[in-house]
Amino acid sequence: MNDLALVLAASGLTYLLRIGFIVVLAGRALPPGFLRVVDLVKPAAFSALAVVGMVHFAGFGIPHLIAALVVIVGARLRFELLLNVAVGMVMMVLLSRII
Amino acid sequence: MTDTVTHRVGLDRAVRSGVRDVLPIILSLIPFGFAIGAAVAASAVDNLAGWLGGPLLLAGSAHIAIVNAIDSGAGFAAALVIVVMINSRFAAYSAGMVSLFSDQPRWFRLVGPFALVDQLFALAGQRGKTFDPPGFRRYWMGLTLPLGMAWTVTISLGMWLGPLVPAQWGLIYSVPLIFVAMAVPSIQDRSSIWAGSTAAIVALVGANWLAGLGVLLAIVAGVIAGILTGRSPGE
Repeated sequence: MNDLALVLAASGLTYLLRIGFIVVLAGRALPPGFLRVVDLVKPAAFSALAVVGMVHFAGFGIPHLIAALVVIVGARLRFELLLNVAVGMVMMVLLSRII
Repeated sequence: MTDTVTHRVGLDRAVRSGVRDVLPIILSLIPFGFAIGAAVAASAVDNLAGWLGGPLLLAGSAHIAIVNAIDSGAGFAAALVIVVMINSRFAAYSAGMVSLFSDQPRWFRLVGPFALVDQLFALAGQRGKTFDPPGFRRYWMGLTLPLGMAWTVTISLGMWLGPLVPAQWGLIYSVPLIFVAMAVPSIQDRSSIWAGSTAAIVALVGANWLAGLGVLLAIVAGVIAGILTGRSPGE
């Protein structure tokens, strides 16, 4: 039930962000520096969430770390996200059996 | 009568233009939607709530952030603030789309932006100006309806097929890997390197802090670090 409430609340807030300047604040300019902050939120949020997800993963170890490094290389090479994550997962499973 | 027919043909053409323009975007989003669906199925998130995040949020990164927040035991408020931070770009898109929506009826200004996503902002921001107000409504419909349906279907498929993967494979680890894969392209200059690395270090230190506080502080610290390091010496 909490999960559902969270998804509904998040969807509602996201909707408000989307209609914000079109309906509520029609015609007003963005606050100064807002776009710079928006640009920086993505690298900060995704890095933080990746780290927390790894730390909280039960049994996190060397294979998981190597899988993350493989995904970083894949992302640098502009691999498609699903393919990239799939390669990382396969690497993790194989290494977990060896190490 | 002829004018009405011509107008109708023009409107239908606007819908078709939208569908044609959005098809390549749909193809590129299918793998992402599938990965999110599989991650939702592997997580502790309630299936209905996890699935609803697809059609209601229409925002993959925020969707997967909720999955991650619930799985890592973050509190309700912290999870919401994280979503608002990640989705803050929609406010910027909203400001950028004002001219296209200003001549539209109120109902459309309320309903249309529901599906304002990254790719459609880039697409409609350019092509949308070539339509008159009724034409833009049709064009927007041609863009958003197929996208929303395809997104929901791919997430459903991911949730359906994801559980076929053996449990010992640790499919839930795909969630942090998805964030890793999304973080890398967003790190492009010195300030974003500082933002990402500062956030990662603070998140590592605060990973077990109460109710997701560590993630929130990590994002704030990362943004501040990015702003400070992005300034030129003269500023």
